[in-house]
Amino acid sequence: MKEKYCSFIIWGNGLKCAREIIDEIRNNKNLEIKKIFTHRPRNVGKFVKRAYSKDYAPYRHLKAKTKYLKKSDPRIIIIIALNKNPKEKLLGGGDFQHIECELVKKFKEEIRDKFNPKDKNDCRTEEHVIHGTDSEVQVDHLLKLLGFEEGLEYFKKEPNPVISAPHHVPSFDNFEIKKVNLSSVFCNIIKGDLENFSLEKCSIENTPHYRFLAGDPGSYEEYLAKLGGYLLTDDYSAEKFKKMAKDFSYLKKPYETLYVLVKEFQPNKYLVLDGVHRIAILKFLKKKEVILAVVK
Amino acid sequence: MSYSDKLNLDSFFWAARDQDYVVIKAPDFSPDYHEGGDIDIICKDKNEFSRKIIEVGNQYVDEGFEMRVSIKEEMERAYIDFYKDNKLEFRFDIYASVQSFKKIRLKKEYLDTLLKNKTKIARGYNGIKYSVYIPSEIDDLLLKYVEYVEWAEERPDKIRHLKFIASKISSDKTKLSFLDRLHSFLDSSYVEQKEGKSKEKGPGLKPRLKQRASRMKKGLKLKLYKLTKKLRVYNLYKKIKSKT
Repeated sequence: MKEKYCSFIIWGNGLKCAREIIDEIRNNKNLEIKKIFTHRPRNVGKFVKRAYSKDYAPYRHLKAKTKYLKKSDPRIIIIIALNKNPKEKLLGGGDFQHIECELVKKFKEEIRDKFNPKDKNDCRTEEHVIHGTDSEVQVDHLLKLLGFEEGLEYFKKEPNPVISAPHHVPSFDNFEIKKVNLSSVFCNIIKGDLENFSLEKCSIENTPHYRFLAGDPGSYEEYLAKLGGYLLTDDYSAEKFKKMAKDFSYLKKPYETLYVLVKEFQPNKYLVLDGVHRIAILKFLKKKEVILAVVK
Repeated sequence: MSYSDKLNLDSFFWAARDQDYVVIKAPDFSPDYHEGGDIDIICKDKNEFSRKIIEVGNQYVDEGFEMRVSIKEEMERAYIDFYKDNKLEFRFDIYASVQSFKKIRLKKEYLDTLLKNKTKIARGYNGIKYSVYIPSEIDDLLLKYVEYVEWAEERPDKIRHLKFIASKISSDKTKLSFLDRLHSFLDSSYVEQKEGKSKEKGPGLKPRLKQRASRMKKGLKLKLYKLTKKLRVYNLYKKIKSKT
C-alpha cells in the first residue's frame, strides 16, 4: 500500500518522557519522522476540540477522556511522520467503527502501555500521553491548525522534478552542478534564543555540526535542545548525526542526485540551503572540494 | 566546428538504456561530436531521462566540467549543458512532447506512435553491446518535414530535409506510409486556430469599445457616451478650424 502521512501528539503529561517516545518512533522501521514541532496552544481545551474535529469519534466522547489535559503542561509536541507500510483495517465497533492502520494503532497502544501514568495498582490509566492518527485528512487539518496554510501539500511539494530537494527549499527550474572549494561554502546558523534570534553566516568549521564531529558534542546538543521543535523542526539528534557520519558516502548509488544545495550569495561564495550536516562531514573528512548544486 | 570526444556519449545512453526515447538526427550521434553541438532526444519521461544524464554527468563534473540544467515544465523540455572552462562542450536537448514547434503542430498522441515504432542502432560501452533508439524510417521523414516547415524561412539550408524526403519516398509504399502518418498526426486545428486569431484582430478598436460599454452599468454607460460625444464634437471642431 502507498505510503501515507500520519501524526502523533505528545500531550503535556508526556513531555517528561518525550525524548524516549520520539526515540521509539525513530526506531520503528515503518515510520520516518518528517517534522517535530513544539506548540503551546492558547487554550488547550479549544485546541483539543479543533484537533479532534475531524476524528472518527465525536467530541462528546473525547471530552471526558481529555479532561486531564487541562491540568497538564500546556505545551505539546507534534510529530509528522511518513508511514511507509500502512496496513489499513476496519477497527472498532458500532458508531465508532472506522478504517485505521493497525500498525499505528498497535504502536500507539505500546507507547501508552509504557508511558501512560499508572494508578495505585500499577495499571495503566487512560490519561494518554500520546494521540496518533494515520488519516491524512486529520493530519492535513492539524497542520492547518498549526499555521501551515497548505496543510499536507507543504510536505508533498517537490521543489525540483529532477534532483532531490526537501520541501522547505523554494522551487527552482535552473541550477548548475559544479565542483567548488569547501572553503568557499558557508552555512546559516541560528544565533540567539527563541525570543530574539538571527541567522548568521559562518564557515563550516564554526558550525555546531562540525564542532560536534571534531570532538565538541556539547555545542550541537545545546543547539538542538534550545531550538529543536521550534526553529529547527526536522528530525535531528546527536545519535542520528553520529550514525550518518559513520556510514557517509556522498553522491554514491542510489543517492547520485542528493546534492548539497547552495545559493551563490557573492561571486564564488556559496550559502548552504540544504545539507549542513553533509557538508560538515565532508569538511571533517578533510575533503578539499565538493560537487554541489547551485540553485539559480 | 571541431570534433571532440571529452564526453563519452555512450556512457550516457548506456545509463539511459531502460528509458523510452528516440534520438533525433541519428547520424550526428557518434563517438566524436561537434564541440558546442547538441543532441535532440524525444522521450516519455523527461525528468527521469534528465536524471540519468545528470547521474553520469557527476563523473565529468569531478573532472572539471559544469552541468547547467534548465527545466521548462510548460514546454515539457529540459536542457543539460556541459561546460568546460566556461565554454559549451555539448548540450542534451530533451523533450517529452512533440508539440514544441510553433508553425506546425503534431497531435499529442504522436509521441506514443513515435516511441512505439522506434528502431535501434547497435552500440557498445565498455565492451558491452547495447542499443540506441532512433525513429523509424517513416517517422524520421515526418520529423524532417516538420523541421523543414518550422525553420525554412529562417534557415534556407533546411531545404536539404525536403530533398532527403524526396529521395526516400521513391516507392509508392513509402510515399503512402509517409503521407498517411502525416495526415493522421498533423494537428490541422492548430493552423485553423492561428488563422482565426488573426481574423479576430481585424475589426479594430471601435467594436471592442462597444463590447466593453455594453457590459458596464447604465449610468456609467451614459457617462461614457457623453464623454465620447464631447470628444467627437471636439474633433469635428478641430477639423473644421484647421480647414478655415
